[in-house]
Amino acid sequence: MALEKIEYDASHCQRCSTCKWSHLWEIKSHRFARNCPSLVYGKFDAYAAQGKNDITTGLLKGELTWEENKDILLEVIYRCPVCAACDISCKRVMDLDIIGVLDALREEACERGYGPLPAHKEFIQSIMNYDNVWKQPRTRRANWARKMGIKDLSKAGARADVLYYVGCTYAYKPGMDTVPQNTAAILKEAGVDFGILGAKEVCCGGIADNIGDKKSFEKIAEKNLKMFEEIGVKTIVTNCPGCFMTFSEKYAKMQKIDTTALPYKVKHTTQFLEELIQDNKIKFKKPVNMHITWHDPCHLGRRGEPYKHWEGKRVKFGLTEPPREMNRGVNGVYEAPRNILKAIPGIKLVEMERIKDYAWCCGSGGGAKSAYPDFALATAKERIEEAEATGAGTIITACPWCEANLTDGIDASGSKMKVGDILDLVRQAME
Amino acid sequence: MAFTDFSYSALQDIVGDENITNDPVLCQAYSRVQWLPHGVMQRERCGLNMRPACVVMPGSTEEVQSIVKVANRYKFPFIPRGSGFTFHAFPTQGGTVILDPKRMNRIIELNEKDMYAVIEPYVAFAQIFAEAQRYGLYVPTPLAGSQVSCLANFAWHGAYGNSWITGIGAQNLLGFELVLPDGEVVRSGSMACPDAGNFWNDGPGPDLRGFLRGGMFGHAGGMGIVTKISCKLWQFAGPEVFPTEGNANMKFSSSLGDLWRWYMIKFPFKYPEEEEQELKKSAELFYEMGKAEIGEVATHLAQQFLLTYSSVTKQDLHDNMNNNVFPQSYCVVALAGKTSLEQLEYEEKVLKAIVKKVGGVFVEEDEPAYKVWIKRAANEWIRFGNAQRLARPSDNFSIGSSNVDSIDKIVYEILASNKVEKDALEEGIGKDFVQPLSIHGGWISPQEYGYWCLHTTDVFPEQDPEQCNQAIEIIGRVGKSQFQRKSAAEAIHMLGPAYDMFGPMLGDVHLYVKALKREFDPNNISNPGFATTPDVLSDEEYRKLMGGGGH
Ligand SMILES: Cc1cc2nc3c(=O)[nH]c(=O)nc-3n(C[C@H](O)[C@H](O)[C@H](O)COP(=O)(O)OP(=O)(O)OC[C@H]3O[C@@H](n4cnc5c(N)ncnc54)[C@H](O)[C@@H]3O)c2cc1C
Ligand code: SF4
Ligand code: SF4
Repeated sequence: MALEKIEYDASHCQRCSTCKWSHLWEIKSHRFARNCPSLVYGKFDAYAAQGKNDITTGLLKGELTWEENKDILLEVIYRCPVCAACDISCKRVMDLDIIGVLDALREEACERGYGPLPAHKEFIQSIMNYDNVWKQPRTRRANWARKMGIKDLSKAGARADVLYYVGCTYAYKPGMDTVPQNTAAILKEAGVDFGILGAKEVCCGGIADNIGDKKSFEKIAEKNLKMFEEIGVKTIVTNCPGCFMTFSEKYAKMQKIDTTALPYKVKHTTQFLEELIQDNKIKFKKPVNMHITWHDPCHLGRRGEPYKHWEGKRVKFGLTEPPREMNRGVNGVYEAPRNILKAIPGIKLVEMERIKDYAWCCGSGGGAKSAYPDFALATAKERIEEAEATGAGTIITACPWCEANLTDGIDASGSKMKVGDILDLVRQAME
Repeated sequence: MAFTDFSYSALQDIVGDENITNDPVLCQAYSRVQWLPHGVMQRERCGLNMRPACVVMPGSTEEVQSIVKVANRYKFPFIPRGSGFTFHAFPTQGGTVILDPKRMNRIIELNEKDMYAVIEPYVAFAQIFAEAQRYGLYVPTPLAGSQVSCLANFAWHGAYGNSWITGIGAQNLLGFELVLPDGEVVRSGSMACPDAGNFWNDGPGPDLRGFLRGGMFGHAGGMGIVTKISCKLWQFAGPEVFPTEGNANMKFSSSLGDLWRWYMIKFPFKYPEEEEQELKKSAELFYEMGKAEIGEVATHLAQQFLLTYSSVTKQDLHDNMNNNVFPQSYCVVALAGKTSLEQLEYEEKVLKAIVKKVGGVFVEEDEPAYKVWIKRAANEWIRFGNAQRLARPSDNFSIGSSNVDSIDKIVYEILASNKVEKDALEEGIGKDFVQPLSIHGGWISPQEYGYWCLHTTDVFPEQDPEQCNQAIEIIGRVGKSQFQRKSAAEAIHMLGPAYDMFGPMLGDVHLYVKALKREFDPNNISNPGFATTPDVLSDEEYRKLMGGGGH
């Protein structure tokens, strides 16, 4: 069972509570000092990584049973966006795979037939039926690209240097189609040879892995990997941090290889555009006079690191044999979006208190928004308040899930802030 | 009477449904603390009795009072929590109620002029530090880490990375509000006089700080629940915002600006063979610094502290140990130009003269020890704490400490403790611990310009009962030897009988404490009972050692 794999990590939690706070050096105020949305909302320690470690240990020791405690266990496990803020804080002081514990709890819930939650099952069913999470017909997937003259790489014989993978949410969510449209326009103007998968694009499946449904995830991943192989994809560029992390980290993990051993390279659009700016292929002609703050999506930032595969065991003193390089949030994509924003004339960027590796999550990831909308909203409202404290008028981000949830947070809190995508700013400055 | 449904409903009426739970899953998260062998053994022995019957979150002093009154009515034990890092904050018997302070998390006042902050129990050190920093002030940070509760630590009379200048928690406690075990409220110092300010803890009337048992004596019987404290703030010579570079575990803070300088000092002796000379020279250095009244931090760190505190990963720690990055112990000093750069430069000149006089050498910037400690860890010492890393060698450690009035005595103590540990090792006890980390005293912290001194000695077993018992035995033997030497020691980690053992050495303080406890907590429900009584140090054995004293 899944929990057995992380028994050491859960049971060696020392209960120091470092996982409950933002990076201790970086705390800048009493107000914005905490890092765990699940704990802030749930208040009791069970909702923090420390508590989840205790609960895991309790389950393994038979002090708690799934059968008797199913409902509360599912709430503790799933009312969490798996943002990994806890994992990064903990790894500053210990060498425990905390995100591994959170993942294993979900996996075991599914193995036992208790998970995923009904809201998650809808997502999975939708992917199985329609290849997307939004129950939309496949034929509408590339509607955003109509009349743009973009190569469809799923057509026989079509080839391009870059596969621009759009993702379900940008493809279907009303009002978000400007992001892929702007991305495609920017790539064209920069002279990039790219194409899309059109109506044949299939959900990356990241959500299935996030909620612990490994079987469904593997099915979806295999479908995508087969398609990538058929087309001979060398570079994938995507706007969605969830897809980015899935192609880069999750597909590597599933195949038990390093990210660098994948047959393709994955780049988030911000990384790709940063290179194009450096190579002078993108030029900004128009100032964008905006006072903004940047929200780091978790899947791009601390969860956006390349994966290093490890198979082995804990040996004496908890050392690993062979030595394990864990993801610790050091090499996430933090600077690329900032460098782009700095390069756009007229932009005034002010940072929030919790940024980069210790950014506060928007609250939407890991299936949390679909299963626990009130939790996701409360978490977004906290971010809005933090953003407002900077004096900026707009939160810029590069994730459709963050954008949607932060927008809901603004609506619910009556804030005057706006939310936007970085690609829209890039496009404005180029026109 | 035990904790019943009636008790639960009564508490529910006080705090509301959403602030209380008796759900086994939610309570499980308050049921284990594993970093210390005692915690491991406590869990082994108490099992699920360490899981509280109920966790309750009061939101105000009034709610705390009501909870305590209900506890007296139904006679169930209660334990207040800070962050819950110490095993003293855990039940040892079934039916215990934990008070989780998360709803009491306000900084009520930050007075930059009189340099104090009034805070509630869940305020972490890092939060006050950040707020104080804006006014050029700071709060001392315990090595336990700045994520722990400042109130719980001050109530425990804690010690800090910069105790050289700040002294212990009691000296930094400028007033408190305490709900006594019967529910009555008492306020100390100027906090007792409305509108008098919160800057003075002495009088009117007797000094009440002794009421605060905190972690040290909490398990020998608490004296209620502190709901508010006023903590002293100190002038900070660093910048308004903590400067950092890098991300996550590779985030460092290499400089605190022009007004803050770190130094590492070594003495040219062979380590560990000539450890005694090295320690004596270190003591001389501290005495001279104390006489000259210079320095913000002055401390002595053995290899184990340097290795664990500066490690970025467990593997890195073991690699640094195997590569002998810290070939010896070092004195670490920080100077702060609190009034001006000239002050800092003056202190630097004095320090250089002292180091020369005592035959020390400044570690050069290109030496591995300097690069690893000063560039990686030194600034963490005052803002992060970092002893959360102490468990890194083996994911478990055991700590013994002594606490005496002079640095000389501490040197004597360290050497004696090291010998006890070495002897034990020769018997095979601790042979599987992380070596050589488990032999040499870790941290010497001269406090208040050297008026007194604290030292810790640590061992690193793995987290299994067999090794944990050995660790407890070693620390127990060290404690026993301290007693035989008529040296003072803290009872922190040898609770219960040890308290009786050390009491007579401290003017029979234990008898007063017990009498007060009986008077104020006749139902014995405020942090009752003891934590683990180590097998190797039975109650009987302690009493024998005491020459029949105690009780
Ligand atoms: C690795 C490590 C290093 C450490 N280093 C240091 C150090 O350098 N200096 C130092 O001082 N300590 C140190 N400690 C000890 C301890 O962790 C700290 O003192 C810390 O302050 C405990 O804070 P907490 O919030 O976790 O308290 P808890 O563990 O929650 O509580 C500590 C005790 O205080 C009682 N208590 C909590 N809140 C209240 C209240 N409101 N009223 C009355 N009693 C209360 C509890 O019942 C318990 O007995 C260290 C501990 C560890 C594990
Ligand atoms: S930081 Fe890590 S070791 Fe500490 S309590 Fe959290 S999960 Fe446990
Ligand atoms: S993943 Fe995020 S929300 Fe979940 S426990 Fe960790 S910090 Fe909290």
